[in-house]
Amino acid sequence: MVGIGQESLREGESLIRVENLVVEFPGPRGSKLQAVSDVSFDVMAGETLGIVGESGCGKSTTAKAVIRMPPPTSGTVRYDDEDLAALTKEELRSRRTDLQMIFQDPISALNPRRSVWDIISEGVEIWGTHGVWTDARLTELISSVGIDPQYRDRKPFQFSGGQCQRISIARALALDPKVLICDEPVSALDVSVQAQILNLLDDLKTEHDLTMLFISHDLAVVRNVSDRVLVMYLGRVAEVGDADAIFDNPVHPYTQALLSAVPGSGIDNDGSLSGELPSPLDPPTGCRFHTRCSHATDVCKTTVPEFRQFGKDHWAACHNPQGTPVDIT
Amino acid sequence: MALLDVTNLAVTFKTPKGPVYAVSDVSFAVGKGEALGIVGESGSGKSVTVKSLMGLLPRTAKVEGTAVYDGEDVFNLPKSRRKHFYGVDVAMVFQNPMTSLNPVKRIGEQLMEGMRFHRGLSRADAKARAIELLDLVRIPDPSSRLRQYPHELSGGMRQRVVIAMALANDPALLIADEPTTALDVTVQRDILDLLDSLRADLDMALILITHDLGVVRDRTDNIVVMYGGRVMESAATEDVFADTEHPYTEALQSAIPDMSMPRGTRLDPIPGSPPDLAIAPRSCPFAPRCNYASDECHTSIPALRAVGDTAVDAASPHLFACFNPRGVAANEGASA
Repeated sequence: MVGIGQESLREGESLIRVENLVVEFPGPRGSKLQAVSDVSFDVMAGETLGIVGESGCGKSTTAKAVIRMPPPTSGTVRYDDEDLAALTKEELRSRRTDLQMIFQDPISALNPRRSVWDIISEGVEIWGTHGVWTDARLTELISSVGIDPQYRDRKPFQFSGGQCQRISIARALALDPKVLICDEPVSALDVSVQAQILNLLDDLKTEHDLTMLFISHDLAVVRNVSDRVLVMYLGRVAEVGDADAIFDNPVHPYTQALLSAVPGSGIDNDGSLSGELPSPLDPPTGCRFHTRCSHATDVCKTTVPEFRQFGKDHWAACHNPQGTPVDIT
Repeated sequence: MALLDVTNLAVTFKTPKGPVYAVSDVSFAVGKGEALGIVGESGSGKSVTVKSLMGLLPRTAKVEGTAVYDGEDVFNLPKSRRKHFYGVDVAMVFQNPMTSLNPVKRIGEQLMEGMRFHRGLSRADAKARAIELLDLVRIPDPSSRLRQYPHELSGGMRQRVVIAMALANDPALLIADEPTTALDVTVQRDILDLLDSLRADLDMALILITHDLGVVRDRTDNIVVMYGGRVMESAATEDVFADTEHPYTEALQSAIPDMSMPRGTRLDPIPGSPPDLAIAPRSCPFAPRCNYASDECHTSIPALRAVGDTAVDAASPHLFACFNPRGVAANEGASA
């Protein structure tokens, strides 16, 4: 099968380098559901990569496959120049502290029967890093995420959703991660609290020198946090590149439709999405977006589009892009 | 005259730990064919407000105030009238379409049930109407959909089916409680566009409840902004955005990231957390989180007042409940 290529991968030292990632799940009656099909991307140290797309596009699965949760069906994930698939179970486990994750629903992400202190210090217990994380430093961490340390013995139900998300963030940071994977971290929060968490993540990113994978369906949130953006549709990458390029000058009809759907975006796009998201059990041939694309031509139905370059760091996989490809080397 | 006129609505829940003041002193009106947006965060009382109108609150709730729908007192309808008031005059659409639908009954059965009950239609007539309704909410191939179960449809399609069910008996007022929160942005726009066009075509009034100011911005005639169970600001939609009076409305706008902002823009979050509704309201609920709060704000509840010469009895007066307004009213106060 022709993939869409790896042209978007950059030269030089990347912290995470994912090549030809495929994740399959068993479907009904022996069929296979390909949630992620041939996705390649890289993340430089200190960078924030935003992954966007509609539900079912494979954005969460992609990020989770990076930390082998579950392991990808095929493709390689290199972290710090090490193939994660080649590691033994024990070696992989020791890398886990480097890659931490925070989840969408902060309340269900925390054990309801344990105190905040237990939740945050458990990782330190397990890894025996008391030398580094003394009680005083853990207390400092708790207050740095905006939780009053005097509430350390309270249980999650005594906190609001926003506060639980702060506790989840502290739990992740207590392991000194290098990469923080945020799976819709503010979607379940009220708008007034969303901004608090986004600003907190921004502060902590600088303070702890973090690299982030930030998954969200909220495009305005992604614009706010991301250096680079990966737009996914039905398991494939539609467009990838510098966040400003993607948001200010999208060339893929899907990205354009997605952006114009945001309330108050002011973008009037006649190419709005028609029809339903096709079933991932039986994805359309050629470009997977052709069934809903207003610019689709015959070639879209038969040939998988390859990445073409539209700017210094701006790639899209489309036969009929709404911009002119350039060749910059 | 307004189709629905709610005056001084208050809802208190009895709990073992004492009363919870979920809604206090809420008034608003919806005219025939008008769209009203009720905006607020969780705990603002927006859902409790409409649930009280729909008679959906548990028995522990005490409802005070009046709600008059087309000359009828909504809170004291006789039982026989109530049966047909809900579902025929007023219908409601909820946030999660999957829990609104019965998972073990076919779409067609569920659509026809209401029509057969309220209007006594025959099976054949009800079926024809069901197909017509699915077509109205732009579901492709409606006749074959009737035999499908909810799990066979996508989230957006399910919400369309729920909207079709709500429209089955031509309601004069449709209440939609966060109808698009569980859906993708692309589907959200389709559903909101659909509600817009249905409202115009069927001359139906709409109450749209949301936490997202962006959703109501281009789609409603009037907006009520709620916080801590009270109305903070209420005005014609364009006035709310052109001349924001209440610091909370202002804070809501600046706390939301905007796609036009460059990356890394620091947001202005609203500090602190929402108020504890178990404490009897004695001051402005927003005062502890407000940047402009003065002593007065912590000791007394600001009454709703009107901006400038927009009289309280005007069609849609610009009302706000704040001692330190931020818009045009601020200068009025200074010169007076």
